[in-house]
Amino acid sequence: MTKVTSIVVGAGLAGLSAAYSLARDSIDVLVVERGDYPGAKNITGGRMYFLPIRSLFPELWDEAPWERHIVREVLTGVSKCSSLSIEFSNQKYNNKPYHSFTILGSRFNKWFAQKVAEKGARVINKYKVDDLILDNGKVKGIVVGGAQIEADVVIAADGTMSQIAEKAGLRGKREPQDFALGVKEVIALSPQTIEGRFRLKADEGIAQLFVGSLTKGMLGAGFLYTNRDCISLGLVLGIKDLTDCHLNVMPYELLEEFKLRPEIVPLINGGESVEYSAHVLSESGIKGMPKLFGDGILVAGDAAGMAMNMGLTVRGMEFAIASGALAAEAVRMAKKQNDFSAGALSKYQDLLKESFVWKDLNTFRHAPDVLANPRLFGEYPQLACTMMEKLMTVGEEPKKKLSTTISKELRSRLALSLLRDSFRFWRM
Amino acid sequence: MVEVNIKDKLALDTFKPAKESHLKLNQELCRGCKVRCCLFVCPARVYTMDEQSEIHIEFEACLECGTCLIACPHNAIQWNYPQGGFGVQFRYG
Amino acid sequence: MRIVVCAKQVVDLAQIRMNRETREPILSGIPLIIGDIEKNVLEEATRIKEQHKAEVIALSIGWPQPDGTILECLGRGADRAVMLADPIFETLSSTGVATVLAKAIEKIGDYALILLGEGSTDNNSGQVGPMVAQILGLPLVSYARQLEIVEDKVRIVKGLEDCFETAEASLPVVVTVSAEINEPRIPTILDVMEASSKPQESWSLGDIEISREELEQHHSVKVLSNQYPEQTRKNILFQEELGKSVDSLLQNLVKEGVLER
Ligand SMILES: Cc1cc2nc3c(=O)[nH]c(=O)nc-3n(C[C@H](O)[C@H](O)[C@H](O)COP(=O)(O)OP(=O)(O)OC[C@H]3O[C@@H](n4cnc5c(N)ncnc54)[C@H](O)[C@@H]3O)c2cc1C
Ligand code: SF4
Ligand code: SF4
Repeated sequence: MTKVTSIVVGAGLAGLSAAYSLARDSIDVLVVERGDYPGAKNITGGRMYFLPIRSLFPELWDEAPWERHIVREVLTGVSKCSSLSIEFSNQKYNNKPYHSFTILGSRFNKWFAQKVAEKGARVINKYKVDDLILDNGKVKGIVVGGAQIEADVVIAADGTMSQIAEKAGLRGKREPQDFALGVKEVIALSPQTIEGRFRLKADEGIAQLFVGSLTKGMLGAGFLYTNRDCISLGLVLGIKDLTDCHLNVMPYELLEEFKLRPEIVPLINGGESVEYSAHVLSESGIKGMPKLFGDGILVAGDAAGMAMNMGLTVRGMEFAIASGALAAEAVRMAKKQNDFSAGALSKYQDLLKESFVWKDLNTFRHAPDVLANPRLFGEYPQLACTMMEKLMTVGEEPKKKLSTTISKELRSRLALSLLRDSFRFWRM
Repeated sequence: MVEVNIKDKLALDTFKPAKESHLKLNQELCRGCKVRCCLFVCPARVYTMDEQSEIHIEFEACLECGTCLIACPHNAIQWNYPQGGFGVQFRYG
Repeated sequence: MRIVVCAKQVVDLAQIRMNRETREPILSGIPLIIGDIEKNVLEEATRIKEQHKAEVIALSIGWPQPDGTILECLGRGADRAVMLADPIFETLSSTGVATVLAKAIEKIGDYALILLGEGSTDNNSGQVGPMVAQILGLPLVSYARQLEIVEDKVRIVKGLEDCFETAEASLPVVVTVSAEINEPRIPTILDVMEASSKPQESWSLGDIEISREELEQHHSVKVLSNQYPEQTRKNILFQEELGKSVDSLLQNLVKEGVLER
């Protein structure tokens, strides 16, 4: 039977990072990806924080296909017919090393896989790993369409819907409250148009988040990222709310409504939709993690539930890259001892615990509970908009004093919960 | 509510449909299902219901997102990825 | 027996989008893959190899470098491969391609059977196979939908408009095959892994003794336009009661010449 040292299932960020690290250490590695090419199945929103991963592969990042570095963050609360935006820009965001970048999953992974192959790893596309070779619960290799390949260790980097972790008995059933559905459209516009509309210079980009009535009270948010020659526009919707709701609207109808909002129309006007995609993402952070290692197997990236909605940002990409690299490190150590048992591979979890991955996921472990609060997605953006309307609008009646206007709103039934929720948000 | 023809959205993507469906239903369980959430959570409208209240699958349009599997309360969906090299192929991602 | 398979790399047609304004295909960024008909050709070569003692050599010329196609050929049963990559191939017309292929086949030498697709998945000019035969001075049998080696001959069934024709020719011979000839199997992952360790050679124009000037004469066919047909929709809505609507629809279809009375 064919035998290799290590097999990586999935050429996403986690798998490619693991394979790159292994190949760099001259460890024999085979990457198996089910898409036509690396990137064919990788949906992401769009923003990667750079600083946490900068030191991992310093030789790579200068030539990476970054779309734009983010120089401005915008948070927009929307109610039915008004919106309130907070804009944050920071001079430092324009200094190298840049703080964060937008990327497109397909473009980025295609490039990354190229680098992985150049380092000597074998990347095979168009093949799906159907099963694991199991011997008394120990993972001994993979099964691909009837053919078997043995390996000392398999790294499951097969994304949120990981079937490999399941087959190894490392993860159980997925619960709707732990996951969200992301739907996204990519809209092509010329770089000049993007730069003009968003007041950007070449290579500069913005990240904008929308909360409020666009999700019709469901847990969720809208996002907009500028890429080089297109815009990523999408919605993230909690699957529990989506399932329970009887609004009779389809996810793509919500997306279309979002696109038709007056805040969005002028930004995408004249653009051509070039792709429509959807993918689930894990929202539960550390609580929803499967077991991360077993005999002959490690789990990395989204497959290990290492993605999280941290309030104003969805994070997963840095976790995927870092966990892939740490899994490779654990394999390197195991290979030295020639021991690929769960005991030896448990080093992976230790490495993770010392890294930013675990620390961040742990710090934000309460985020899912805080975010499960429907007021955040309905009443508060509405409240903010109403207050602004009262402050800004001059009608026929004489205008009331500022303090009365505000305090009247704040005396409403919402005030107490706002205080309570702000505190919880703060603690998060 | 805006009207959207999901076919127009899906036409933006490249699909390489396999011969066999990667999604299968346990119709027995579906018959007893009240929520039928597969009909409204799927971003590609893969699930539809006929006059006899039977659920149908148009697997060729599947975006492979995973939502239906997580949402279905009765575990009625036998969910898999399509065979390697088939299914949707994204160019932007 | 040595079988040379000529395989062309093409853009993945499933990925092509049209520019709405110019009505031209947008080709930038489209993945390059092995053509569909090439899969039939390789399947046929492999099938012959399983029955007779034969060596299958894949030959691919193209630009950008057709390395993916070469690997695919090796995964699909070729024993070794020769690749010729040069920017000049991007604009070469069928005669130029046939000249290069013929020169390369001559250099490979000792061939008994040269297999090509009846026409490529993208251009479908159908000229390359016949021209290769012409240049090499070999017999040609085209549009094969069944192929059999009988001693030192090929016996071929070809599909004509409304009948089948059986032809025989002695080796060496050039055969172009049509998609009906077989159902290509999907190689296993082990085949693909093995492919990368099979022998591959990369030749330059110098290796086949052909000069750039000579080739440049073959930029003879100029593509003037490549557009999809303009579609005009009439957008007529029949809103009378059903029976009347059907009648009006029929009348209109007859008027447009879609239906005949
Ligand atoms: C809509 C959306 C928005 C997001 N926004 C952000 C954001 O702004 N910032 C951020 O940091 N993160 C974001 N994320 C999360 C981030 O995209 C992921 O955490 C990250 O891409 C995970 O990478 P991965 O390699 O673990 O998984 P994936 O990218 O899913 O890769 C898994 C790979 O495995 C392959 N595969 C699966 N099964 C098999 C099999 N059996 N055989 C062979 N191959 C297989 C798949 O084809 C795929 O290529 C977002 C996610 C979504 C869905
Ligand atoms: S698939 Fe699940 S949600 Fe849909 S009808 Fe069947 S049981 Fe109900
Ligand atoms: S995986 Fe996603 S796109 Fe496919 S059927 Fe399920 S919900 Fe629909």
